[in-house]
Amino acid sequence: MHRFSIRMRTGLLAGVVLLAGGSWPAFPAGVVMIANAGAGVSEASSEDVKLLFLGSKSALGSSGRLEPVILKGGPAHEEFLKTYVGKTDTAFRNHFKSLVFTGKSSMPKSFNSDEDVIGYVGKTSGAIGYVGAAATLSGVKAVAVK
Amino acid sequence: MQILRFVFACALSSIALTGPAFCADWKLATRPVQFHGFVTQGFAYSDTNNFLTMTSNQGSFRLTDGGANVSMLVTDRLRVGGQVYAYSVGDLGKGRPELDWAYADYRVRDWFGIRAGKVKTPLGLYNDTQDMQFLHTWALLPLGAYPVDRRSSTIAHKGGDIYGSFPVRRVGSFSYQAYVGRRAENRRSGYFYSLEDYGLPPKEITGWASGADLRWESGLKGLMLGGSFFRDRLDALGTVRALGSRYGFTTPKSNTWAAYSEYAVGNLRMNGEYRREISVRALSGLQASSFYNDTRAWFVSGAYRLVPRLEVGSYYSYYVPQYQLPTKPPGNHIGDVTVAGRIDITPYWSTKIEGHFIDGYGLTFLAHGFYIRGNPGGLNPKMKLLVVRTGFNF
Repeated sequence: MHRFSIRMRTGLLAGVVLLAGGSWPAFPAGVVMIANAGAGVSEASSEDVKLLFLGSKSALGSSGRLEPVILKGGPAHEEFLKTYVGKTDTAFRNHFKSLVFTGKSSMPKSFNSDEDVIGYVGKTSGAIGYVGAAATLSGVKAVAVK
Repeated sequence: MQILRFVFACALSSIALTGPAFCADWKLATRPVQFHGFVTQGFAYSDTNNFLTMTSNQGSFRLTDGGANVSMLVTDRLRVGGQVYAYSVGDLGKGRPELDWAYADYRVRDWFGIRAGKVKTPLGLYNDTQDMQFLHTWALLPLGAYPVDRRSSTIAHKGGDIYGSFPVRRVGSFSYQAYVGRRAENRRSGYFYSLEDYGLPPKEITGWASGADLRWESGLKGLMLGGSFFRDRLDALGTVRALGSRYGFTTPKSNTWAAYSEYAVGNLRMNGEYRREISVRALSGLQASSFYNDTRAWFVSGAYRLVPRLEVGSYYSYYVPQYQLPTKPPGNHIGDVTVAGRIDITPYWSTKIEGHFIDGYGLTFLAHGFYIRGNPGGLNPKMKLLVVRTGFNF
């Protein structure tokens, strides 16, 4: 009975979201992707996000060169890596170290807080990053992830 | 050696500051310049044979390496950089710095770029990253495929590469690298050392290398599959010490194939690799006129990160230097069961403790860790080896 009631509630919630004309959020609820206001990118596929943050892609469509920046840690960082990059923090850092020590890439800039990411992305042409959903976005634009 | 001292100073400051910022980021004409480095120190103790030219059966600290690199994105498409590397493992390497890689990289598109200079050679899972112990769970990588003493045989080439990566909808993404160039064997490597053991000191070993590597990040989350091909054409000259005469050899054929995989989900990572090398060496100035080898090596490994700072793992590796001959004798195989623990004291400082249970010692003429010079009483077919290795990187 209890299990049935949980399923009912989940189904009702899904129904309400769909009826309201919305869809399930593609980006994890706790993370928002942001880019410099002048960057030629306003949306990206989740595969593009993965390849961009692993250094396999340097641009999205006609965006020009993008510079991914990351958080040093925290829930938004963990959620971003788990959902889009598919790596743990250790595996992600090791991936970049393997590129850096073979000369194939530079280490992405990393920041302690959402505010620092927003500040850097806002003033740096081509910069793209992610912050917690609760962060106040100022001087940057949100990028929709499909 | 000054470079190594600077690397060491930066590594120590990394620990002190719990971060690499002190050394890593500079600017040159508004363009960021990054500086990175690493240094490791190890200890090895074995119960029977001396290993890797160390006096490991008495306990040896002669297991040190380090490197430093600088790189810069000159334009949005052009990157330049270089790395110096030095190692001292027993009698090998002797701590002399060598240019590990140095090249210009022009990325025309994400799916097509060009590199020219001295470039690390991709072969199997770890060839180009085998010196970077901070990336791996293991203190020593599986020695059939990645022998420390023979790293210079495949580590890099001087020439040109093309590379790129591209996604394929619903299938995943592919990355490739193809190359051709010159390569030279390090005079302080195990290759030279084992030939000297047999009274055949080489003067030089140089040649051409070419090959390709293709990796597929599959649509199945965490699964990567890859394959590599490596072809080298060597010319070697040396002296037959007993006769005082010259000898030489060329390799009309030396082809290596590797197939490899990685599956990483959550804190679990599993890897496997299979290698086959077929080589024919044409000799002059020696009794034999040719030398055929079918060499096989493979390993499987698994590692699990129990807590953020502790990872444990194990691998089994097997190496047969002459597959065309019976493989049971200890002189024609090396089996290695390894158990390891890695502690990440900070993100830039790790320590590993590793036990190896080794069966066989392989062919000492093409030595993988076992040399007759360090074992004048003969080699024991069984050996237990403890390796402790600590390393800093920034």
